[in-house]
Amino acid sequence: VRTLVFLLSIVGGVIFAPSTFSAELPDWAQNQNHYARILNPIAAQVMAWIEQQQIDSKQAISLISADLLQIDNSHFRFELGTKHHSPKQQTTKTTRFNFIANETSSPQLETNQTSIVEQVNQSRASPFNNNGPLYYRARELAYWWLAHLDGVNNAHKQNALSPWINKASFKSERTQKHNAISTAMQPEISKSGGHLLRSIKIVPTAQTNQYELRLFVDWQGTLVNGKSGIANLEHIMFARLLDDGTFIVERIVEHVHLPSLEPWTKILC
Amino acid sequence: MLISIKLTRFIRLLTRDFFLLGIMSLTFSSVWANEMPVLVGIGGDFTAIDSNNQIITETDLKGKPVLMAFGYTNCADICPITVAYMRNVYEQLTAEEQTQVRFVFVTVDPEYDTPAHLKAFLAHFNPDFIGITGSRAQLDKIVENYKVDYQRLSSSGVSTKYIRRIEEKKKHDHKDMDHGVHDMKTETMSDEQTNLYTHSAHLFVIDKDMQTRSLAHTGTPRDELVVDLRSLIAE
Repeated sequence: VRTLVFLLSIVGGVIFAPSTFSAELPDWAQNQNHYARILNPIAAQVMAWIEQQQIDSKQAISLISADLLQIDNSHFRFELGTKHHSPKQQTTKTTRFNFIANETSSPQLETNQTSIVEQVNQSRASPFNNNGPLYYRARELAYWWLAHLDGVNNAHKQNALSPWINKASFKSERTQKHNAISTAMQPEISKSGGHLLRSIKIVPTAQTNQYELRLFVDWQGTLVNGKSGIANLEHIMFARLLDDGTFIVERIVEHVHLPSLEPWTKILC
Repeated sequence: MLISIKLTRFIRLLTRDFFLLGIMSLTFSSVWANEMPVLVGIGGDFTAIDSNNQIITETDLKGKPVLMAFGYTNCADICPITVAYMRNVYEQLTAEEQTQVRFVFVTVDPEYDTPAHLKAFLAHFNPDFIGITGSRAQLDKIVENYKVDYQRLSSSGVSTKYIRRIEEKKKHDHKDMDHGVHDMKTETMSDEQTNLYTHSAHLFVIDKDMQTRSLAHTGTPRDELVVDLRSLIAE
């Protein structure tokens, strides 16, 4: 069954990935913590860029492609395809982000260059609801939060986290602890593995400007007893949106779910 | 060297809500194929009553690998098949290995499944299997720990005479949690009312530290499960 599931996962990967994606993860991705520490800050900065683009241009933006390339041990390139929706036309653009990173710092954006690939004279509303600045602001926050969990040094200094990170509480089902975030980063969480975002839901509450940011996250790493581990997590961030668009997270509650490793896992009889 | 990773999953992740789903399934599967990682957060401390009418805690189960299933004795669906599957796995182990693994059946129907009734039910398969019952709150704690789903199907009771059962409950079963007062009568209770449940059907493969290491179901080749249990015995 495991072999079958493994093969199904490969097939699934082939279906969802272009042909150049191989079954073997590259060496740098083998270490989940290192991989997450690279990926989450890059994704967070790209989200912030998209959000700013929407604010500046007053256009809705849909993402249509994304390529992550490692140039060498310290340089990464992220190529992003976007479709910009204005009342009169849609424009397709490609933006190339160049990041530099090393073992001790998260990737920093060096340069980015946008080129207009195509202009389509067509007015059509975006098919996606989740393409407004608020959505990307939440995603930026989510990636920085995961980067913080993974021990990225400067994550807590980012604008997405700094207004609240030292005030909010974190109730972790994994550790059975409920602490201020600054003291909740137990060894079994921080620096012991990597968190990767699977999806995010932004759920308005009955109160004005109050939201639940529901992050669905996979974790893989090493436990304090040396065993490897995986976890299927949900982080509910109870957040307040300020007038300037800043999310202030007041508390975060972590739930653990049964990993969906097998197709029959959730079957009831 | 230029390493290109084209992540259409990344697009899904960025554009919709399935960011890195493929990568993670690949990563998880790679781990899954090679070892048994701990399923973090699946399990935890509990206190309940075992089928010998003794208090049992998670700590009592530590020290040996555990194969654990959830169900109830009035289940005419998967539960008998699951416990029969557990028996077959048990019989595939050597006599020495059989003493090194615990086979545990946790009821989701504590109102009906008394310790003695659980014991009689499991004895049909293997008298060494451990049944776990207790108060509803105690069972719900275990259910919550292991992220098991269950739901009572009937809003009112169902007569047990319409249920195809492995073991019919005896009158003396009925009082075995009542402060140790035992009624020695053994008349059957075929006119009782009970409830039907839907519940998770998978088995938990748990190591000596009571950390869940794998999941199985009755379709899992027994050879594979035996290999897993042996590797946990050897840890």
